[in-house]
Amino acid sequence: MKQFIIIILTCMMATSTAMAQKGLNINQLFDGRFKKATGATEIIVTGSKASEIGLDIYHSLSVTDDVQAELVESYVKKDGVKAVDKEVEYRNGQLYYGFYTLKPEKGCKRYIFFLNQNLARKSPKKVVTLIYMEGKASAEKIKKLIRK
Amino acid sequence: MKKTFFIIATMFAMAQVCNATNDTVTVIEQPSQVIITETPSGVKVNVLGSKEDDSAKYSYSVEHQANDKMTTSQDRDWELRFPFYKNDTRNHHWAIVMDGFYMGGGISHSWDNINNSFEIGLLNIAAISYDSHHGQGISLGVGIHHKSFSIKRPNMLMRDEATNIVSSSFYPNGVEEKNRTSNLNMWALQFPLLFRQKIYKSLALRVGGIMSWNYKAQVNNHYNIGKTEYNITQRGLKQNKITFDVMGGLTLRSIGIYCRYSPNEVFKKGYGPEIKNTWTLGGTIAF
Repeated sequence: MKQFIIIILTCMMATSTAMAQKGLNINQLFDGRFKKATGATEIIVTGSKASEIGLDIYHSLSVTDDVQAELVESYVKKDGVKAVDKEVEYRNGQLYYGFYTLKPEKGCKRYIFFLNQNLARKSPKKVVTLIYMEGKASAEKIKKLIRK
Repeated sequence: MKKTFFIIATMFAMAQVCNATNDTVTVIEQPSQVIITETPSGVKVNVLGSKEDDSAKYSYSVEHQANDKMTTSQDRDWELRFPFYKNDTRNHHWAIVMDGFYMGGGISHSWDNINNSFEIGLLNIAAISYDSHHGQGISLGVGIHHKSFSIKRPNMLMRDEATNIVSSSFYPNGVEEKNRTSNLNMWALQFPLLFRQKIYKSLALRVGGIMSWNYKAQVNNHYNIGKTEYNITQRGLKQNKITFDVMGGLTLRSIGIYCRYSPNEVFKKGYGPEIKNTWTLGGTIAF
């Protein structure tokens, strides 16, 4: 019986995580393809660790490959069109960073953050980072959280 | 032509921002200069020259309203911080810890009459500990240590009352061979400086040095002669008050094994047998 309940709860959690990003283009990037990709780092945090900072889901992806980076940027731009609020900066015609606030779903605030560190002025790094966040945290809190 | 489109677009955008009920559209063909000034209070557009008149001037300004949404350009780089990344420096921390209950048995070949040794203690009653969260840690603390050396039969330790010199002697005549023991007991406050390196998941290596203040030492002899039981305790030994040990061990979660080497002599020169170079193996339980 216990095992059955655990299975049901696990399925519910997996479904809710999948539902969170449903309808977004970046969802295609979180299908597990980067888990074993060289130069890519994917971090998924849910549960108590995430709730400590006011989030239900924290999903980040960092890629170093140019082709992958372009793909990430293109999906972010597509999703950015649907954002209810956005803060973006372009450098040399390329998206340097973007902080997008999406339409809330079931009372949950949703954010997409994109950063191309290759366009940094001080110490550029060949890394493109995408972070999807969902929870009750405000945009200001999220920005403080992900900015040094 | 491009500039013309640009000006129209700017006007249109400004009209949107100020929620003007009536659009304001001004077309200036081929201007020689367009100056857009952004200030905290609003936006000002100055157009100089036109296709027909080089001296033509046009100026337009919009004041920000209280509920306007402003997007500011970011000149500095975005220094990204990953809140859950292992290298996040916010996870580095200092802490006061209490850990390391240990117990072990040892040997020393420095003196033939030593049988073996037993030790028990708390490595850190309190310690200040730094954890890098890169897998390394360091701690400096204070703990308690007790060590007991047992003497090989038929020998026993005795302290000379006059000189305080501890030496080996035989049990008195008529002592029952059973239940006769002679031990040298030491108590110390210890100050361990330990380094920890994570090896794999919860498995870690700990190495370090320990300074001990051996504040108390005594000889305990126990034997029976006939039906009479003798328990003799002799204090006032001349032990080395400060000694240094080296310790190393492996810990897996809260349990571990350790090895401790004590190179220093127990007694001051001339006040007892040469007991040194003791090796001890044991187990630890961290709290």
